[in-house]
Amino acid sequence: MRGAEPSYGGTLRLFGPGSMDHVDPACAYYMLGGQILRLFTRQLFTYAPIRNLRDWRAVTPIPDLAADIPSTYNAGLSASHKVYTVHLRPGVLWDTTPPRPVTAQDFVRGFKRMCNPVMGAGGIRYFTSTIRGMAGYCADYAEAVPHAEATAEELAAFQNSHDIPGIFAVDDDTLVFELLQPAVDFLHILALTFASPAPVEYDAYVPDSPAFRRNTRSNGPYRLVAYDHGVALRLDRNPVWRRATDPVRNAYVDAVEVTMEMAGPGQVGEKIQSGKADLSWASPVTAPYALDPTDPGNDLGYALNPYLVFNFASPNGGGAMGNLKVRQAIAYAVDKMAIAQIYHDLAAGTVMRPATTAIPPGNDGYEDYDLYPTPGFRGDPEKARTLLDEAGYEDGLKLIAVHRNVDANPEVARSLAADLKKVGIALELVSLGHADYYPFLQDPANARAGRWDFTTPSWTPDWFGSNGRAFLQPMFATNESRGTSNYGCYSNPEVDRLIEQALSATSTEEAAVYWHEVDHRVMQDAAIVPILAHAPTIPHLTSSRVRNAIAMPTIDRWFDLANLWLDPAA
Amino acid sequence: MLPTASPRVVPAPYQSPPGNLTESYRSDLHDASWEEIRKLFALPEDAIHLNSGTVGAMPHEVLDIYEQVTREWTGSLRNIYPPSLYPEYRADIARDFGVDQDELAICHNATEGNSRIIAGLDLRKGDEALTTTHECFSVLSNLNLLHNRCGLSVKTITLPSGYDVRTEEIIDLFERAITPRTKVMLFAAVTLFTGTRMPVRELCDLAQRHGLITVVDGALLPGMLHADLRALGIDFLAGSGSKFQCGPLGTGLLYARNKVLPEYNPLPLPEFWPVISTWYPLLGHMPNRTVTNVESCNMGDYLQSAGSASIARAAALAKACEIWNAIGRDRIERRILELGDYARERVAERFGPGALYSPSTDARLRSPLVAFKPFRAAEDAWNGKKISALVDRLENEYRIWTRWIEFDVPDSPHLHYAARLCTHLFNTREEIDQAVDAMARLADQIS
Repeated sequence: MRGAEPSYGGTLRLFGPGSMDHVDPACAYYMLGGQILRLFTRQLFTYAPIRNLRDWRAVTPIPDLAADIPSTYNAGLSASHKVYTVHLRPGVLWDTTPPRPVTAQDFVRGFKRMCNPVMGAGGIRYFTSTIRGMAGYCADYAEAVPHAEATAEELAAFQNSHDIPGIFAVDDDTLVFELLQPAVDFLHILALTFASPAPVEYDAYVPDSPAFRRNTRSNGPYRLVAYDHGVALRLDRNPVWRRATDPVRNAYVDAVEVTMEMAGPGQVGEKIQSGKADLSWASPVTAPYALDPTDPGNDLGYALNPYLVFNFASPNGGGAMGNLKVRQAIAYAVDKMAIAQIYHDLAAGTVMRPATTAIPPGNDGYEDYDLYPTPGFRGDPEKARTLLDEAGYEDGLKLIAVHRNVDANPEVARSLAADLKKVGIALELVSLGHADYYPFLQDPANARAGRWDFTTPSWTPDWFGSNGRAFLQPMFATNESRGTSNYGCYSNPEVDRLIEQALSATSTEEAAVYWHEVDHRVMQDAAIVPILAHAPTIPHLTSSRVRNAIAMPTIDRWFDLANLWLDPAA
Repeated sequence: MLPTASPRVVPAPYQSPPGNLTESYRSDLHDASWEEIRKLFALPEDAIHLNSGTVGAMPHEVLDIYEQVTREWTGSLRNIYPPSLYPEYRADIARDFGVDQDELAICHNATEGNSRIIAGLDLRKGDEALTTTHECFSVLSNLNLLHNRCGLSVKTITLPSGYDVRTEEIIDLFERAITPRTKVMLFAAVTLFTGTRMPVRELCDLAQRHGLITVVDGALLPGMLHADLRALGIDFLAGSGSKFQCGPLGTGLLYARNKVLPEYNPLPLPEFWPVISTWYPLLGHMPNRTVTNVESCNMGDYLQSAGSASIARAAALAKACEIWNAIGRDRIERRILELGDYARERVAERFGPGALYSPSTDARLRSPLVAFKPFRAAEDAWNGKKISALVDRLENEYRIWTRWIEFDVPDSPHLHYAARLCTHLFNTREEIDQAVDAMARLADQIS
């Protein structure tokens, strides 16, 4: 079949709105960007692309820069399951001059970098809650370098004079992790891009600064040769990468170019179909599909997209967002079916259903219940108004809702505004560019200043299966540091305690019971309003020359760019 | 089933293979020097074997019997099932350990023994098993299996390590860990990591005060210690036939207390399911367990009837035991422990007493296993690559066989790695000197 055999060459072109949140793996979190990071920064473990995925248990970490999966039977995992000894794959090089091996010390540096107080990892709690001494290291770091304008020298000075007790290099090829307690999902954590190695050159740059972005190094098949935030990026082949040292990537294309422009799905689709672009960037444009597709993959780990998150720290309206009855009122007011219709009309390529729990279906701890039921998920304005009256807002309330200015987000915001108007809440809508939205939310200073009262982000799990740590922990564990994913500064000590119990469970079954408890508590607190849960089961549109494009759930079903090729005959 | 058309052939009754030790030979062994005894063993001349904790070395006679019996049975067409119960072998070996034939089965190794014991205990959701982090994986994995399968709660304590550990510390640690839900205590007779000879009788006393079942991983016990299992008061024990007992690989012992002698263990016999048993009734139940010193059933037979079996391996194990008896089990124990003490002293001299993970000052806890950290830098104690390199080079460059181990140490966040050497009756002080000197040289180089 023409194009069935891999073909080397060509420049893969992506087009669409939006931007990477960050380039630096120490802080990059947006799944869209995960497609790009996968090309130039490798971790100890990663995920293989799986064609025709039918069971999320197939999405399991495989060795990438690690030589093998640590287990009790290869002296890689202690009997207590608290000590991991990881041996590095030999022969992997940085594209430095001259090329240099990736070492265990580079990983130690990478882990230290993600703790930086200037632009740290949004998922830092995955690491500080598992690795011995890492929480203390992060606290010491924040205390030693408390200002957001810290220089690279200050950051490097701290990193090079302080160690994370539970991570050390035994030699150049061997890395040891000591955990606080067994973590059934630790390899998933090590597969996150935060857990990338960092060459010594990175000591010269503030994380994700313009200087960093100009000087990224690669240990993957491509390297970043041009980056204009929110505008464009380009990756060319990394001349020192070798297929023999990379079991995961084939790197068929010669280069990858991303052009970032405001464009609706229709425009993006037209570019792809006309051959002016190969893949969509950020815009969920699908290949034609049946109206109600049945796909066994529909039961794969569902994402929450969107959900409504409240800013508990906002002073607006007399601290209205801190009032449970106000939040509950909003929960009752939302017409979820109207929002489902918006996404349906968008032809976003997903199966959508109204969400009623923090944990969406398909994930450990999920149970089907609804604390705020409304007829047909259409909202219950009367109940909402009653609650607002009880909360002391019988004269109404003005709130600020921020939203992204792409895809369905503006329309979702307008739909919510209409819902809330019915119950006496006036919304001021603030539109933010795709590139600015998440950084804005991740800064608690914006929350405390009341620059927003609620918003509608989306959350896709960082991994599947036993992923309570990837859903509930970042969303609801107390975390008011910059880079947080608990955007609204929600904090409940009981929830924090339940999360810790779930995390210290030694079996997934035991953990699921606790995760469900967390779900129930945050829903009782109305910390969020789950709106829609979805499984992105329908492939994004590709140009006629793209072959072997496999969607990866761990990057929100965007494609694995490292293994597709371009058919020169198409 | 014999074909009816053929003349009926009556199989010859099974007899012990020829070559049982003669009285004079037994006497010779009893008085033989250790140098002469060493010649009994199939050991290469140019190698030093200090790893009997993993696998021993068979005497030539044991190997000969194994081969001979294998040949006798190959193609013999005799009925394999009666001799597969090993009645005489079990009776002989049981006597060596102070118990009766109805309480002993010859299994394939200590792992199988431990697995079948744990699987056969009547443990339910809500019950708690108390054990240590220094147990063999065969104990820990099977307990975790029961945890996952039926909700057993598993509580682990980490044994103290170091040259100055006291018996009382260990007993106190267990006692503080017992709760109202504890049903069974599981511990090794001699721990495989630090070589701590556990205070078995005292721990059984503790268990009996609390009405607990005792399961002992005695993998290292047979051939090392002259132990009377009944007097120790144990309920269950699994032992290896191929480590210190120097029988063939594929042999082990499974002891299940099958009668009540209150002077040793007054508790009722625990409910026990003989996992893997073709004798287990096809309908109905096993007889109730006895409450007296007279067995109500032959539990050993139930456990031994696990299908057809190699007669040769049991014959060889029995031969190894016979040789041990001829030399004298007490004598062997004294010899092994004396060599172990010598090794410990040499290690302490060369590397410092602080290098020892094995107990030293409390003689009750000493065994022929000596575990120690050979490197000077403290952080090298959690460097698995260095210890692995040392053991490999010791083998390749010096032809000295030891092993490295990894284990938890109380109050340390690290997984510790140590070198371990085991002294046995065929070792000499000169061999120990050579090994310790070689390890010191290698440690200096690798550091």
